[in-house]
Amino acid sequence: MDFKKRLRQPSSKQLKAAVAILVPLFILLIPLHWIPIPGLTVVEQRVIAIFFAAALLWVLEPIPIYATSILVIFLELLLISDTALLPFREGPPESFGELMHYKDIMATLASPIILLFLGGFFLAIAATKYGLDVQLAAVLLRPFGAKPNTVMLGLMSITALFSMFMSNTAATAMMLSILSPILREVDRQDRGRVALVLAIPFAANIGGLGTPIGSPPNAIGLNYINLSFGQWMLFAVPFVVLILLASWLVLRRLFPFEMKEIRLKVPGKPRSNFKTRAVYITFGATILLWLTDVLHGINSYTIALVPVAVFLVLNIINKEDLKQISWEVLWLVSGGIALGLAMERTGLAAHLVHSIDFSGLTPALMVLLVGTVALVMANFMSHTATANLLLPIVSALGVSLPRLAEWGGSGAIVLMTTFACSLGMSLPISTPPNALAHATGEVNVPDMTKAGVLIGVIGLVLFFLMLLGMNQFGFFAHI
Amino acid sequence: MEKIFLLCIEDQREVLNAVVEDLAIFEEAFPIEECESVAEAITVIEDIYDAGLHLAVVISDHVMPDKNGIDFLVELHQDERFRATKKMLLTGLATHADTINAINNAAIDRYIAKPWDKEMLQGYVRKLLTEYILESGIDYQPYLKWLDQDTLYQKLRKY
Amino acid sequence: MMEQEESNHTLWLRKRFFSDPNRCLDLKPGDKLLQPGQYNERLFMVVEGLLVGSIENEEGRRYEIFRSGSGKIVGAYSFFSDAHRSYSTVVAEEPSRVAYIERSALKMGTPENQDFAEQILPAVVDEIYLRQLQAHQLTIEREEAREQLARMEKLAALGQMAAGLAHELNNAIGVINNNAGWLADRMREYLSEKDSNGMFPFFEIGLESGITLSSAEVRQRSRELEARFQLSANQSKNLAKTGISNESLERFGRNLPQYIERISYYFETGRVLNDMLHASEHAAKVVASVQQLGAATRIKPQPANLNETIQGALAIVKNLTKSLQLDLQFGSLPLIAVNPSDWVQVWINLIKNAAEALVSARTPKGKITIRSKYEDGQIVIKIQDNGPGIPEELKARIFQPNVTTKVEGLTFGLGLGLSIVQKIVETYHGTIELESRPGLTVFTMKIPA
Repeated sequence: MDFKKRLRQPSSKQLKAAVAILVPLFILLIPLHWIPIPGLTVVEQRVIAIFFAAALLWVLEPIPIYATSILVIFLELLLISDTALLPFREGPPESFGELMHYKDIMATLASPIILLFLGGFFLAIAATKYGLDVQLAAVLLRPFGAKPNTVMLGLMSITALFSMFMSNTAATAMMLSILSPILREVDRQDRGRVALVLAIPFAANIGGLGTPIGSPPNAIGLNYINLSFGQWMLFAVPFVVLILLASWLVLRRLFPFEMKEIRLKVPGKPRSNFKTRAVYITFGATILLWLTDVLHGINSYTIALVPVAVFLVLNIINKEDLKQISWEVLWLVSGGIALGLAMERTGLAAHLVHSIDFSGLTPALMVLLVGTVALVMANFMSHTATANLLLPIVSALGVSLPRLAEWGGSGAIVLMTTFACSLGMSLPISTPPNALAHATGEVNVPDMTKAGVLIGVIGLVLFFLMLLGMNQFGFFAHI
Repeated sequence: MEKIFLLCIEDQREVLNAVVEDLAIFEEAFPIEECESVAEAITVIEDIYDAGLHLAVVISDHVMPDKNGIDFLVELHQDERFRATKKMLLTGLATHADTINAINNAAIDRYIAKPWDKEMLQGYVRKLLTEYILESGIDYQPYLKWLDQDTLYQKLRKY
Repeated sequence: MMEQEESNHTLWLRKRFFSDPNRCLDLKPGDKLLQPGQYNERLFMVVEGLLVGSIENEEGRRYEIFRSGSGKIVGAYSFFSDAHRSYSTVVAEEPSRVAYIERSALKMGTPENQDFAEQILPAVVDEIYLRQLQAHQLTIEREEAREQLARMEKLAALGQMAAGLAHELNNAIGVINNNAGWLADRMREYLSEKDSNGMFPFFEIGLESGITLSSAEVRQRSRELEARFQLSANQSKNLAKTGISNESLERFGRNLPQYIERISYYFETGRVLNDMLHASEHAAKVVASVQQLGAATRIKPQPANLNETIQGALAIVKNLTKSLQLDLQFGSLPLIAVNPSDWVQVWINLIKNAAEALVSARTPKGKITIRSKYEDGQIVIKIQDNGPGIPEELKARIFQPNVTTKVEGLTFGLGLGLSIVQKIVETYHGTIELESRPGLTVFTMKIPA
């Protein structure tokens, strides 16, 4: 029996793959002067080809997004590094450009940002392994009582809090598992169900913004703006609180509760043994160290190794647990960093921005426009991939436009883009948390879109105002 | 989306029809192979493997002309290639000895007694599919509609 | 050891005391030597022939207590006891001759008397021993009979339960079957009225024949359809199941893919009804057989065809024979007056035996052949299997009650082994014979018709 033949259904996958291969190949092969960027080098042309390949693969997704990231690193090594294929190492001297050192490209796989994330993974894995997440949820939910609106606020706060330290997907999955038994007892007609189910993925997406390790786009952003853990939280946590409250109000308004009471039952009683205590203490100590770097001078990236070291030494995380690390997330980020690095080092980013005339745009409009583009893209594709694609360009834009300086310069526009990426949550395909919520069958797409678009726009505007305020207080002058 | 198969073995045509009908909700995403004998099932399973496709769940009848369903599932489980495949026994008469044999060989993930409850059958298949997909590292997102929420939450909490 | 050879003391006794031709009696069969309460001062020795002693209970039933042949002493109790009264009836079974001595002839204290006393003692003890042995055997037999009875009672209870169950199920199945039929008729009317695109015939195909192709054939056909009409895997599978020919499909031309869902819908509707009717008929058949088996164990014999009882038995043990090849060669049989449940039970036991032997020995191509024919005023039925055969040492005991086949699975309690089979066959004055060697085991029943 020929199963392969049966598989030959008309597939859009091949078509997408073909586009993602042919377009970059075309860019790679055309004469240099066809590309209307003055002063472009051959190496830069290759970076453009790689960028287009990455963009098409990330947008169309014929292959997994983390595979695209690795492909970016691999193609850079083959085409624009000093270990490139021999014919690629030389060209017309006047317009060839500079090859990159291969070690720099490879180093993106273990960049400090990646290690920061690894530290976050260790915290999350240890917490779930010892059931800290569920225990903590049980304790923290109690003060929120039984009124549907306050319970929803409780769920959102806790989801957001967890999401700051674990992946958005894991936080959503955990909180949905707490919520779903209750939903079975609630009247099917009650619109409040939709509010409850949407509250969790939204809070997870929003909470991810709270810390540098909360969500991968943050890591990419951090690549372009030099902020410590504490500095990030200084503005991100207030923003998270604000937008969380705004979302809470939006959900209450859109999907009012009819039910009078909700009783959450969270299983799991607190355990107290050496290892559990060690996890709690390490967790607390790590966060404390992150927030007090001014006092001890150790940077956030190094502190991230504290949980890694402690948990491995105490055998709290063993080799089986190590297999749970989401390498694909780390490599996804690495690819983004590598892409940005190539664009910056080869000088393509600068060339690119100079060749476009932005003079018609005021800095404020520019920040808003970039944020909107990011928000729209993030609704239709992976948040991390959006950040990977946009941030190298946006960062160059920020550096090269002097008019932006009064606005906080590169920092402001990079943060705007980074935050906008995490606010894309209007469709089931926007983020895995949204997909999980949609899969419960409680939420239809129009409802999700209505609430998601509203919160996305409110978030964008709120963050814009926040950037204004931060600039007023001279935040960007200090970094 | 990857090609992920379900396979049902049952020698009585009417019963096979009824099983497949109850599983029709999965057919859009997971093609169902119907077999009337173990021998036939083996050729289909080999074909699926040769084509590099996934075999997620096998649902087998118990008493069949050419082979006992338990023996078949135990053998399938001992085959390294189909270790990950979830196995389910549909039985009208499970004796104590059969049960012990199956449990000791860890070959059977679910028992379901005839006559079966449609929702229960669907629920089991849903759970097994979810486990298979997550354990095999297949991207679960395209299949969310057909997966078991609780299983998903428990597994995803760890990622 | 005590039967044939006459021991030394018997010879001596015979020579010395029981050889006087004047003290001899000749008995014809049926002649009474002693009867209960009779005064007796004689001690007898059987010279030739056979005497049978028995006692009678209050209801007048006779129980045999001893049989005495040549050389045996009879009348010892009444001769030696104080009362000199016989407690049993002693009758000649064959033409016999007994010699005797009178009590008065024995003079106390004489050396002769001394010798007699010495020699008579072992002979009397012998006699007592033999009688006791017979009593033991009687007790054992009675115990066995009691056990057998208990088993029969259990069987009868199970049978009644089965009959009750069958009755209840019958009603339920009847309702399902009738209503499925009714539903099929209504659907037929409704769909034929509503039919706009010539889809109705597909309902009819589904209802009349269901899925006729095997799953392998469906797969094959599905691939044909996929290639020929450019359909998706699901579409072609659904279409393949209907078994509709290419010609019938061609009339849809290029629009076929649009119609598949409707074709499949109509076909499946018919098919589901077909499956329901089919399944309920099967259930009804099984229930009827169980009912036949369990029917009040002592109903009056009725004219029946034994072939039908075999079919009934096969329906019940279907699960056991599933994995085997069945070869049925039924000749036409005359009706005989029987209780059908008896015979269903006989066949169940024999078929189950054969099936279990084949399955447990994992005989490749296991096959059971059942042949019936009528010849020379007898119904001859042979049940044959190609299993490993019955071991020599078991052959002799195979019809004893303790050599039962295992009791498990669906046919629980229905098989009580071959002893039952033999009993039943004998009830109908039939015979059962066993022939067995590796690869061939045949039970042959001959029942006079």
